[in-house]
Order: sequence, then structure tokens, then C-alpha cells
Amino acid sequence: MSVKEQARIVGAEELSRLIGISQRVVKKISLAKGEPDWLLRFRLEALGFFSKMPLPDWGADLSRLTLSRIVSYLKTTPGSVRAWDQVPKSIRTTFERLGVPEAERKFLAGVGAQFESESVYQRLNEDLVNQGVTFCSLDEAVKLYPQVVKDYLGTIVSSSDNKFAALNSALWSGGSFVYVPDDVEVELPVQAYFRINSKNFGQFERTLIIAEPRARVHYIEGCTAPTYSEQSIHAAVVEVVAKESSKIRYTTIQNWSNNVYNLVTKRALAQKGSTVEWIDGNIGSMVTMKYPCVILAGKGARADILSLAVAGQGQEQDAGAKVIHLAPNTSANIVSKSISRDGGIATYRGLVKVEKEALGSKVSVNCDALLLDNYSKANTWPDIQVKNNRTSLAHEATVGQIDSDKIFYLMSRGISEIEAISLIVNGFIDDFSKELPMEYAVELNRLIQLEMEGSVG
Amino acid sequence: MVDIISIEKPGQHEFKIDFNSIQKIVFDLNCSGVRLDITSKQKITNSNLSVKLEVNHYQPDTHSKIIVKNVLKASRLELIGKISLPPGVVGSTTDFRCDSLLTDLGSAVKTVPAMNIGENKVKASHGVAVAQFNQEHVFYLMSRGLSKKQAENLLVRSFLR
Repeated sequence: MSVKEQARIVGAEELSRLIGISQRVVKKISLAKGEPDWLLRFRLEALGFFSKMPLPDWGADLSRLTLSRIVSYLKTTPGSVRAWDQVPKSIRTTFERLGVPEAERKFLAGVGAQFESESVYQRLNEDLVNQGVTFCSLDEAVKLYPQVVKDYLGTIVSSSDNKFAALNSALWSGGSFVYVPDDVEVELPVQAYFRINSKNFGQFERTLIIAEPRARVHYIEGCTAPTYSEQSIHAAVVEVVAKESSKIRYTTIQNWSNNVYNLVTKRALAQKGSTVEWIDGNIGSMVTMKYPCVILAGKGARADILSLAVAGQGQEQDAGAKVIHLAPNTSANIVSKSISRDGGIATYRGLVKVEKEALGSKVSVNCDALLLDNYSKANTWPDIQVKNNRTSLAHEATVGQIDSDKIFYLMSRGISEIEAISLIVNGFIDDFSKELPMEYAVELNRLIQLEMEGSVG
Repeated sequence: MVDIISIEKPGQHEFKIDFNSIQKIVFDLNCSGVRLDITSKQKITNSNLSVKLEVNHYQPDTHSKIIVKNVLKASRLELIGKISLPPGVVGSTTDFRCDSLLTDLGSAVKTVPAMNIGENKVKASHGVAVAQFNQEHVFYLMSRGLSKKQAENLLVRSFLR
């Protein structure tokens, strides 16, 4: 029996829910999706890596993570649609409350929404479709553009990269596929929205973004989940390919609830003269381990990484940035801001590696941490390696508390203590929030204000 | 070989260390009112060094300042710095500077200035810079009649001052 026939049989019984991580689960997912043979082999190979690899012995505490009983696949709707009124009402209400359809009408070029394992909604402006831009779920891309997916999948983040990249490669479902052809500029951002709604669930979103020469695109990712006492895991892999002179900006606003392990591998390959920007905001989740990476492989490529971590009660934000300079005249700019409060732990873990061939490279790293009380923690672990003498590198880091003079000054002007603190905090993260689209910056400031309520400086 | 230096008396303590002769050195600040100044300025030639430098603030009102300057020639240096300010060390400050001058293509430097901070009433900062000779400075000195080698030697001296 061929794989396709098997798929038809399994597909007929309509796969909706799978538990655990095993070869049987991987095969079922692949067959139900009607995937080609090479993809099933890719998944099974990755599963092999996953079972062999140990948990990382560095970084955040993962000792309480249990993967054996996790729901590894959950499908709630028959398929992805192109109009909100075709989305089942209960799911539509969730996204309406999150303001997704409204944002789409106002300032987005395209929107994708993923609920649990599968995409429920995908739409892109007609204009962009006509210009050859593609924005769909990666599952759909496997069916529509199998050769493109085959050429790129796993080339930037290999499935043996780390344990959670292997897990994602074995079980991935949903995620976005963005393809921008030569010279096309996507002016408004496209956004993908990821939602976990059930407990003890594992979301394995996989995203692939390809910008052909001189193309431009801004991709935004938002994440939320309701709070349960049981843990969920979001193990995503994002692969970005920026070809010659293209520009890709990837913005994340991660606001998972405090029961989610957010273990994400994000990496971009920047070719000659291209620019890759990661704008990475981590506000929610219980444990985050995420280090957006840019490999500067072509002459004159540029990386800009802006990261924000807010660690509150019971949260551990182990975030940072990685830049690897392989080619001459490449430049990188990293700005990291972290805020720890109510016993939260924020860590900046960064890597800057300038290889011997990367002559004339420039690197600037700035990380600032704000500690709001004396039982929270801030750590920095910046690894800086320079292997040639034609590079200029500067790294600066500071850790401290809110200046009490500043609070006193604001209070003397009639502002309450809490307002004063949140004003200063908003000023502290200004480098980050000014890079967000207006609507998101407002939302972020409001979110930070809510987070700060009840915390004393 | 590990040197552990425990500081039990308040006041100024100055240490000059040379990376060419140590592998790991630990400073424990066990007394309030300590001001620790560590300077380490060295030329590293034809060697492959790995150095660990740890400063542990165990008491409130302890201060550390670390200045490292390296001039590398045909050498590799790995410097792992670890500074901890655990909860309770109110009013402590630390500053860690590490500047490296790579004089040739064969040299490489890896710096990890790690910090673990569990107290908010502190000030902590670090800075790392890696650079080569400023070609304009070399050109200026050469236009005044110095040979390239003399010019570079002069710039090394000013860097290590």
C-alpha cells in the first residue's frame, strides 16, 4: 500500500487528538496530513535525535517538564478558511476578544490564526497575492509548493540542533510559510496569531520565511493562552532566509500564560547586503528559552536584535541573542532590556562570534537589567568571541534598580508611586516599544502597567 | 591551580594580576566596606591562555572594580569572568571592564563577563571592547617620522597606561 493510500484511510477516520511522543504518533500526524515520503522520513529522523539528546544542562530549570503525557496534536476545525465568518463561533469569539480581526482591518496586510495544532484562518491582501507573495500555513505550503519547502526545511535549523528543535521537527504542525518574490515590498506587516486553548498541550509551530533578492517583509507573531494548573509546551522552530539585499523584520510579542514552557529556536541566514531584524518581546510564559540568531553569511549583511524580557512571579525568562559573523563588513546591533520583579528571574544569554574571515565587522551590544525588588534575579551570560583584528566590538551592560530620586521627582509632581514606577519602566523599555507598530506599542505599555500594579519599587 | 583570596578587612584593596601566570583566581569579599580594585594589564605573545576570574560579594556595601587590558600578538585568550551579588548585599557595586587590542590576524579573544545578581539595591555594570590599531593614529605618528613599528609600540603603551 502506498503512503498516499494509507493517508486516505487514516484521513477518513479524521484525526483529532494524539497523546504522547512516539513513532506511532509521528506517523499518524504525517499520514493524516497526507505528507510526501521525504517529510515523514524527516520527521522520523528528528524523532530519533529527540530521543537520543539530553535536556540542556544549562539555562532555565526544565526539571519539572513532563512530555510523556502531553497532547501532541489537537485539531478543532475541519480546515483553514479565508473569511472570519466561516471560523467556528467559539474560536472566532476568542480571536475577536484578542482583537485580531479588528487589527487586520486596520493595519495588517495579512493574518494567520492558529488554534492548537492547526491553522484556522489565513488571508492575504489581493494585491500581494497578485504580486506573487505567499502567506499560508506551512502544512498548506507542503501541498502547494513542495519543492520550495523541501529545499529549505531544516537547512537553517537542523533537526539535530537541539532537543526541542528535534521535537519540533518530528511533531510540527501549523506555523506560517511566507514567501516574498524578487523586488516585492510588503509595506504593511503580516501577522500570525498562535493560541493554546487546552491544557497539557504541546504546540509545535514551524515557520519558514523566505525573502528573495531585494524583497522586504515584516512578520509579526503573537502568542497567548489561558491559565491552567497543568503545564503546556510551545516548542517552535523559525527559519528565516534573507537573500541578497532583502530586509526581513520579525516581531514577537509573547504573552503566554504562566503555565507554558516556551522553548523556541529561531535562526536567520542573512546573505549579501541583507538585513534581518528580530524584535523579540517576552512577557508571559513560565519558562522561556529563546535566543534569536542571525548568521551573517554574506558581505555587508546586517543584524539588528532588540529583546525585552519581563520576569514576574514564578517566571524564568532566559532570553538573549546570537550573531555569527562569517563574512567581511558585517554588522550587528543587539539591545536587550530585562525587568525582574516578584521573584522572577531574567537572564541575558548572548553569543557574538566574529570569525576570522569576517574582516571589518562591527558589533555593538547593550544589555540593561532592572530589578524591582530584592528577591528577584538578573543574570547576564554574554559570550564574546573575536577571531580577527579588523573588527570593532563594544559591549555594555548594567544592572540596577529604579532611581528613587526619579520616583520622588514624579511624585512631587502629583503622580502616584505606582504610576511613577510604570512611567519609568515604560521609559526604560522605550528602545523596544518604539520599534513596534503604534497599536502594539500602546498595548505593550498598557500590559506593562497592568503587570506593575501591586509591585512596589 | 586556583588562587582563592578572601578579603576580611574593610578599606581599599588593590591587586595587580597577570594573566600570563594564572589560570583561575577567586576573590571573596567577606567584610562590609571593602573596596576591591583589580587591574590586569598585559601583553600576551605567542600563547594560548584560558583564565577564570571570580568575584563573590558576600557582604553588603562591598565594591569591586576590575579593569582588564590585553594586547594580543599571535595569541588566543579566553577570559571567563563571574561576578555574583547574591540577595542581601545591599549597597554593593561592581564594574568590570575588559578591553582587548588584537595586533595581528592570528589572534583571537573570547570574553564571557557573566553576572549573577539577586539583589536590587546594587549597581552592576560591565563593558567589553575589542579593537585593532586605529589606522589614523598610526598614520599620524608615521607622518611625524616614526616607523610603523615604533608607532604601534607607542599605541600599545598608551593603551596599557
